[in-house]
Amino acid sequence: MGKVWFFLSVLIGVGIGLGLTSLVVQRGIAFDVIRLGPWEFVPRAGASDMSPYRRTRLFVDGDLPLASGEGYALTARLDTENNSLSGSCRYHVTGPVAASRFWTLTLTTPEGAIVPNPAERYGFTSAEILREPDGHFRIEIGPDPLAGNWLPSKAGQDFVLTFRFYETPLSATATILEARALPVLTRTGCPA
Amino acid sequence: MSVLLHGFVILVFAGLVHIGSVFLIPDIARQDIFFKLAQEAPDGAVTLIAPERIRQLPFADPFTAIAVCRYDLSSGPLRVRTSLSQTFLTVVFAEDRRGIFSSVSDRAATSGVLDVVLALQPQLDRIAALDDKSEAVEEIRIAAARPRGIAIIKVIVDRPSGREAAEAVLRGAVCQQEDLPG
Repeated sequence: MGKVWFFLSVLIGVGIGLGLTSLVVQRGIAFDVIRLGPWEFVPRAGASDMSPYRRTRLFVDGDLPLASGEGYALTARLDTENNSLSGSCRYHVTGPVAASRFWTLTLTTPEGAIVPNPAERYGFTSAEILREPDGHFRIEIGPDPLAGNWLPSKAGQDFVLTFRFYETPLSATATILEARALPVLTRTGCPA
Repeated sequence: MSVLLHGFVILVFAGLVHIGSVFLIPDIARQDIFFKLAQEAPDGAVTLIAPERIRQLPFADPFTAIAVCRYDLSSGPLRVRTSLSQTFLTVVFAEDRRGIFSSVSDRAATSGVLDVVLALQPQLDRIAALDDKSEAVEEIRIAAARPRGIAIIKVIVDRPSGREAAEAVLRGAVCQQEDLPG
């Protein structure tokens, strides 16, 4: 009887272990993600000594992280109230942002695919963005055309924003980000 | 068996299986970008990745032009040499199933050229031993722990009209195996 109970315990243990791994892999529960407002930042994502959890995510997602010598990325999947970013709603992203040689902002599906749109506008770069005279910028996100820097989303589909900062004093190996140097993401309205 | 012992056995096996599977996934997964890019590149030659292909890669930055080159250092060091772009250029070295292990940006270039030599440590030692000590070494030397991997050359495309110039830089890049000196 004791052996049966031991075998059962082992089975339960194996099940819990595999379940936990599956959770990490499929739902992206990473223990090394730093969250600042809506932005997620993974320290050392592009370094050889990245955490095993990050490595697992990398090999399941199949994305190409920025190398530590290139810069770092910030990702927003949820707004400040923990709602998914909805393609049906309107948002704006305002800067200034952290000092970098170039930055790019890309809008993708939660799986990382580009969202096709007639304007062929998938994001913005620091070189092409329209700015205020004081250097600030404002990017409008929504399914319908908006004045200024309009980044189209697809109604009914959630999206993810990725800011990439190339060549910054702070690299992907940094573990601390200053909150006031982060772009501000605000939801401005949703259809009733 | 007491409940406490059952709990302990469950905890130990759950921990072992979880840690083991997390470390095992990179070895069995075939989804990683480095594996995919290595499949698209011949050994020792620069292959430009089409913008449409870049846009298909998950979470890829569509504002980059990318070229890749697969290498095998067992037959000698690898030299990657490229002229600079008007924006930002980096050379990233990675291994499939392991990820990025080194990168160099255009800040390390001398005389408008980024010249990088990737070699195994014994090869680097041999190259260094043959250096002319009176001359400064202008190439960047990087040690690789394992012989096989890929070099990824990336250029930022800061505006749509800049893609042609960025791809021209990548087409002119050299990525070739070299014989060890001496």
